[in-house]
Amino acid sequence: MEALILELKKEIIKVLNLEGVKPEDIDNDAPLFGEGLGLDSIDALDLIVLLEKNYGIKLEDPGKGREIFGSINIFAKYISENKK
Amino acid sequence: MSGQVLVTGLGIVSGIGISVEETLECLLSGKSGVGAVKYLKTNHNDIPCSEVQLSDQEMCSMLSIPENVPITRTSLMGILAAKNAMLNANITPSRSLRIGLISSTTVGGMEKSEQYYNDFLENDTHNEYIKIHDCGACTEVIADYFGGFCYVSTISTACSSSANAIALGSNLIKQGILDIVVAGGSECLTKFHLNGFNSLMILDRTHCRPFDATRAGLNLGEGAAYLVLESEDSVKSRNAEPLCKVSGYGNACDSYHQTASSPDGKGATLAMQYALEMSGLKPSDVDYINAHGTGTANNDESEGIAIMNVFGNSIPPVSSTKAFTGHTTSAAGSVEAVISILAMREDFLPPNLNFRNKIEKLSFEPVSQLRQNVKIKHVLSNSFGFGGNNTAIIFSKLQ
Amino acid sequence: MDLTITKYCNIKPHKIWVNGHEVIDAGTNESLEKSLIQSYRLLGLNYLKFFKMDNLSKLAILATDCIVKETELYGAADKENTAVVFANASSSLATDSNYQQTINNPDNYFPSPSLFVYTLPNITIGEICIRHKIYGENVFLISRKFDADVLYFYVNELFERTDTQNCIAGWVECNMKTYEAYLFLVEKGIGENKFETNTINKLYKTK
Repeated sequence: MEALILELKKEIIKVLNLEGVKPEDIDNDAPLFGEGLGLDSIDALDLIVLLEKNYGIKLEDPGKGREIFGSINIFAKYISENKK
Repeated sequence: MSGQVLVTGLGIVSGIGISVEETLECLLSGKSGVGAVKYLKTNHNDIPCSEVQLSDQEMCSMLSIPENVPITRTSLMGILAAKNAMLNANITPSRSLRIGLISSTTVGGMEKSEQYYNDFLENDTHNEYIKIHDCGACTEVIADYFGGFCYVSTISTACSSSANAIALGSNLIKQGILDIVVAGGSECLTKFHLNGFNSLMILDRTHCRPFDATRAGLNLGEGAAYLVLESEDSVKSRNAEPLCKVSGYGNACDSYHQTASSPDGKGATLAMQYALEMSGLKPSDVDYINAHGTGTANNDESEGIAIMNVFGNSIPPVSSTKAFTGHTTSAAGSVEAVISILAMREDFLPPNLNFRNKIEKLSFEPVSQLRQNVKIKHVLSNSFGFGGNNTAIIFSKLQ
Repeated sequence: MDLTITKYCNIKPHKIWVNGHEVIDAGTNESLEKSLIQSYRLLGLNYLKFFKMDNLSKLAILATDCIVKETELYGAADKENTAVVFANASSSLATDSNYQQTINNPDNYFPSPSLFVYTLPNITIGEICIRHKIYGENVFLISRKFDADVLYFYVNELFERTDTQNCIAGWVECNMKTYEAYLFLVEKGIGENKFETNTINKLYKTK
């Protein structure tokens, strides 16, 4: 799980162009949206693409993204349970 | 300068017809152009769209353009619509007139470029399409078909483009720079933006339902439409019969997000207020609003709130006609301008198809059934583009 | 109405000039994007959304910041009477091409929403307006090359027709090979650079 979490953080930083943010800066339980990293709706869509591209998980309902992307830990758990 | 800007001609092609008459027939009979994709070669055959029911070959034939001449679908639709508008106005562009063409598009020749992209990279078989890909080139191809335009320009502000073209055309006439302007836009369906909108997850997999509480997104459409705008002097000098006038317009930035509208609808509110101010009308003078009404969760609520901001307790009948034509993106402003003027001319309120449930936060419901014998003296048409570019135009009957 | 250009900015790889004076030399960079990012750092901007934008928007942000800095437009207040009038030749073509790469290969087909969002030139205006809280009239015109006449006409008419108090206008062009920006701030009043076609051309050609 630790390896997945680190990989996920690096991917998120790269895909979302989070300038100046390092993996160690991202708290595993902090909200990704709103406060915390302050991601927005377009970032959420990019994470949906990342989910499919890197882990083969297709998310049809963008509304579900809100729960899954709640925090790094929640996100990583979802991936490890649903990865193809 | 100043003086009135009169509308003397209309031309439109869309999924509900290739003429003003066909368009009117569909609006009155409730017949939508939204359905399975037929002309665009895409794998996304589960996404309903509204296409102009003509192939490129058919349009070339109608316009007597030889088959070996490279031309884009956007330009073909534009030529067809502009031709009809000028026929309607009884105008032929020539250097003896001060006549301009202001067109709009976002995709331009994209539909051909995406077909021939690999050829562009690997061989020289379709290089002639490279030159006519970009937005400005598409307009020039339309202008060159007719010849005679002394001023040509292109506006590209996404879904408010052709509304802005009508505004710019009006400004050019009021400033005395031109006497006649053919203003509008053209946009064809492409895989580029079908996939793009799909990636934003704002496309409805079923027929869209603008202003409905359960709405699930928009249906894309393609089309082209132009108004012939003319100065009072020009109309007098050639004894033309104007259909109506452009009495006001406004543009403002929503300044909120690249693709979403603000919760308080600030940009839309300002645009409508500026249009009313220019026209000298009170909100209660407006008899019908043709809304932007895309059917997305975000737009319809935001626009609804903006309408409430401006019209308070006297909200006129509102409907979106995008369930008829689909969202024709850059052409939407002029497509819906033509529909608004037709509604005013024929005394009817086009229905907002597929509406069943009121949006909770809004104080009004759209017009869900066709209503005829309705006197419309002033009609307001909204067109809002990504990037927060919001435009409102008011057309009015002449006294 | 008396209108004057109170400030102007020229950008070409890899330099930025404000009112004709060089303010930034970003050095030679391997890519257009790196050049724009280096300019951002040298200007000391602090706006993380910059890194998510396409090159056209990055360019416009740099140019606009240069001309509104140290004016009353630089600040959090809502500006309903500030207009933005941009023009270029390539629209958003460079970004269109990048987005196309994400849907070109049916075996590696992942349309990118964050790239698609920038496949419209007026998103660039949207980004400027969001950053500087601008709510006024805005338009993006496309023409084959820089056209001072159309910019003069549009901006002049805007001031006459509306309550516009100031306008950020100019040419913001970014294609696959290079970028170029020339923005100017038009305000009411009399000044050294009277707002007219000759002046627009003269200041454009200084760099």
